[in-house]
Amino acid sequence: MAFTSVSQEPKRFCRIQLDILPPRSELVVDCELRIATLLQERRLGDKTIVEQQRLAQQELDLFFVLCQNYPEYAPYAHLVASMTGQVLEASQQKVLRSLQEGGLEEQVHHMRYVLSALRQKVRHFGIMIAPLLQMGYILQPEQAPARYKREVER
Amino acid sequence: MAGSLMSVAQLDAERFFLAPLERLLPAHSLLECDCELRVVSLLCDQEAGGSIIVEQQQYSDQEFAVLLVLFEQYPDYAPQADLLAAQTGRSLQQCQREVQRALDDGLIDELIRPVRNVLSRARLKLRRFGMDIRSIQETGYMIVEDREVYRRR
Repeated sequence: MAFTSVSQEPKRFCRIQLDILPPRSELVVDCELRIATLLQERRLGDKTIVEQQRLAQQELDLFFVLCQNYPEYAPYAHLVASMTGQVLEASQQKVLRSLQEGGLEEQVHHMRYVLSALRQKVRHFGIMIAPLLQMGYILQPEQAPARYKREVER
Repeated sequence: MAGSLMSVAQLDAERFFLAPLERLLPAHSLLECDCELRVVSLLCDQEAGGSIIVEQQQYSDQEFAVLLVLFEQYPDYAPQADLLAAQTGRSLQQCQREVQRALDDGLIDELIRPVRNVLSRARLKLRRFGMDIRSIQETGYMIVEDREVYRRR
C-alpha cells in the first residue's frame, strides 16, 4: 500500500492506494476536515471524484490503522490504542490479558461500535472491513457498486 | 483535463458536478462539488501522478445553496432575489416581489441581511480556493478572483 502526504500543508491530504479499491482509483483523505475522497481516472491522468464520505475523528483513526496494516490484519491492540491514545504496549498487554482471562468484549466494545459506523462509510469506496475472530480486523474488497463498474466500462 | 473545464460537466446529476469557473481557477485545475456532503474540492493536474486534491472546504446547507447560485450565474452576477430564494427556500417569484418591494421602500438592507451573513461565511471558505464574492450595490453578488491570493502567488 502506498500511503503518502501530498499537501503543502504538512499531513493535510493523504493519498492512499490500495489494490482493493476500484480499478484506476485512489483515496485521498483530508485530515483537517476528515473527508475521504475516492478519485477515479477517466482518461490518462484525468481523475474525478466518484465518492466522498465524512468521517468522525475516531473513525478516521481506525481507518488509518487498518490501511497501515493492509494487506495484513490490524490487531485489536493497535485499533484500541489508536482510539484511546494508549501506548501500544499497554494496549497489547490489556488485550492479551483479556484474551486469557476473559473480558475482551469490554475492551473492544467501543471500538466495535465505531468500526460499525466506519464500515458503512467505507463500503461506498468498495472496501469491506472483515473481522478475524479474536485477532482483529482486515480490509477486503467489497463488491464494487454499480456506479464504479459503469465508470470503468467507459 | 482542460477540455472538461469548458462546460458544466454533469458528472452525476444527483451528486457531483464541476463548477464552470475555469477563468478563476489556476491552470490545469477544476472545482468539483459534492451536493450531498456540500463539499467543494479543488483538483489540480500534476505532470506525474495525475490529478490531486489541493484544497477542500465543507459548507453549511445555506452557504452551499447560495454558492451554487453564484456558480450557476458566473461570469454574470447573481441577483439578490435568486440568492434570497436559495437561502430561504422560498419561491423565486415571491423573492423577486419581496426584493422589488424592499427596494421601493428603502428596506433592502434588512431583507438581504441574512443572505449577506451567509455569504460572509461562504466567502471565508471560498477564499481558500483563490476566489472572492463581490457585492454589486442593490443588484446582487458575483464571484471574482481573490486579489489577495493573486498577490501572494
